[in-house]
Amino acid sequence: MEKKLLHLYDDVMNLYGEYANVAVLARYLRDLGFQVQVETLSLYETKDISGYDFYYMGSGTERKQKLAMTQLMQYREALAAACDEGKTMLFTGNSFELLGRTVTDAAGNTYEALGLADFTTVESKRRITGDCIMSFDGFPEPLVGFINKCSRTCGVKTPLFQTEMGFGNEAERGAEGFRKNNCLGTHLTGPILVKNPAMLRYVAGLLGAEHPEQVRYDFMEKGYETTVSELTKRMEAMK
Amino acid sequence: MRKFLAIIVCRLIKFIGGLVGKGTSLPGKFALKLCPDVLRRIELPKTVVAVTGSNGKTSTVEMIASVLQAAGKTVAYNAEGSNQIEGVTTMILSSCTLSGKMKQDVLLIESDERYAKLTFRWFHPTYYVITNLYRDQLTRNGHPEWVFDAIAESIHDDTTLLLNADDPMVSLFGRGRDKVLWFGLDHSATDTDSFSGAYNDGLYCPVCGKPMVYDYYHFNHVGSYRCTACGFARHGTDFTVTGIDLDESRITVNGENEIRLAFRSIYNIYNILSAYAVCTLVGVPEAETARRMSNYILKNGRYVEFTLGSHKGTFLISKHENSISYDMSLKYALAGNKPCSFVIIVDAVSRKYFTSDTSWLWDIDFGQLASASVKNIYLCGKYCNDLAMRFSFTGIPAEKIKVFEDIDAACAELRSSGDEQLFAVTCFSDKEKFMSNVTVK
Ligand SMILES: [Zn+2]
Repeated sequence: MEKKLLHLYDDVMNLYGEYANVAVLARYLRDLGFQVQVETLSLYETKDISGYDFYYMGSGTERKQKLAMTQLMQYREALAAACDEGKTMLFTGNSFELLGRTVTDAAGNTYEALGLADFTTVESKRRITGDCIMSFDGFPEPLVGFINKCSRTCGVKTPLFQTEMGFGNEAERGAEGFRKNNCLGTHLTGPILVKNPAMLRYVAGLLGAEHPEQVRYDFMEKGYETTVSELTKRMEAMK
Repeated sequence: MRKFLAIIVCRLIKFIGGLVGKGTSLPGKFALKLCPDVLRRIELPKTVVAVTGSNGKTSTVEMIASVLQAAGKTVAYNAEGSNQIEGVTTMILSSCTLSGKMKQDVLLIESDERYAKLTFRWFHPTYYVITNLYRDQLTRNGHPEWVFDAIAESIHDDTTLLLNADDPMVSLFGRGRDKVLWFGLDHSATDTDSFSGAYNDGLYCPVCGKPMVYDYYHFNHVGSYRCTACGFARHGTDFTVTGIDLDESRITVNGENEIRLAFRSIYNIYNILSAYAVCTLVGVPEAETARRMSNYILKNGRYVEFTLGSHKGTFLISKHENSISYDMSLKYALAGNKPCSFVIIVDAVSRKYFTSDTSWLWDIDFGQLASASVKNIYLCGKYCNDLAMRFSFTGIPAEKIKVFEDIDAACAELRSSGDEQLFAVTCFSDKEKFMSNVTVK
């Protein structure tokens, strides 16, 4: 079976090594027996973005996010339709903010976003950074990662994760991210599908892999164990 | 009176701290509590030089200090790791008279990028060097544009900026500004026509967001760029490396002054050039500056050479969470084009703060090592598995990759087998864990 992946604005929304999410997913799906085709949409490119199985966008600087968001608005209907059809979509870092209604920058300018849900994001001049542990009802393993943002996102009614350590949508700990059908958004930055084998399996599952656990990458599993152990120690020490 | 008290307290704490080996920011911290505007009350030298940027601050400051001192000038400057306002305060209050007058010819400050505005709120540098803006310690710094905004708040109208013309983000500081001097490299044989690197931060114009084009690249996104839409482009330079001869390990500055390099690499070349600019601006003649810099570089610039079993090796210091510093080290190692193996260590991401984040490994162009001359690659330390995942996407055959969480065990294997050249690449935070296994002449 063929799977078509579309990496949105890989040229500007790739601040923390996010290209690895698409690379590892493509490898994983191939190893699970799928034919995989990866395409990208660059910043000023116009093309028909319907008909893909997976849509991905990573993080950018605040200015690059606004550039990406202004361009992305031409695909508003196509992306809303993909979400309604249950296509798998993953938006990580501040690209997740584009799923909401608006993003307001630190100077007070408000930009219209895709509006898949009614939440809004406001940026500030304060940077929020830190290692995180999250829990998810999709699988028992904790997620590990890093948050690197300057915003608060308010009004999410259907969050994706619960933060055990680190900053959530609006505050320390608490709810994080957004989910609608198979469209997933989180502020976690970087190669979250490399850092979290369970999340990689989960996304492959959404894409139709029946037994994703049949393929495992040793280094990835061990790397995850190391980070979980380091972050758990950190969380205990902070209590 | 408060100023006097602050000076006394600063020196007292520094003295006591010196006895027990404490850092250099604490005395300044106390002094600032006693007298928050003490830096405004000190009578500073006529020339104040500040250096900031992602990479090369410390090297640049040390080079400037050494050349100025050799040329007979007195200089007060801060040591590595004390580049925020507290450390700068400690340095200034320990270098002035009890009445608060600095008698040195030059005050030279390495300044942290993000907190420079706090320091330069109280006094403004005469010359302010901005070396580069790269992806550096993003787990603390956010990203280069975030750092840009922080530096921008530290710049005042009466300061002359010394800007790296080859770095698009740094050049932005000089846009529409009169008091700017530019430094950069002319087109040379080591340049490339196409981009190389794991990511490209020079794709879009920092002014208008439209695509940029490059006539050539020196490395990564550093080179000769221009915007296709708004006219933003690399500025002409006042201080220029006009010739690079790596075979002879030397560069030519401003057409006639030769400076010797410690090794065949353009690594460090911007530090050399900006230090050259500062020294000549402060009054050392160009030819003398070039001569004294060559002396300094040959004495201090060498990489550490070691032996491990039958291997001869070179230790290449790089910065974790700083992909360009890694790219530079790898490029240098590969330029020799001789059979070699690598030891790459990520054990403690930072020695200053906690993070377990290894996203930055994906920004390093490890694909460079997919070369027939590279024999084995030892990936070591706590994060060896994250390194191995990263390397599995480089096209390097898996049988060349050896993964050792235990650094000593990797060194033991190397000690008992092989005799090819070794390159060890890691950060200060992990340096000793490797060096304790090898012999340095
Ligand atoms: Zn432009």
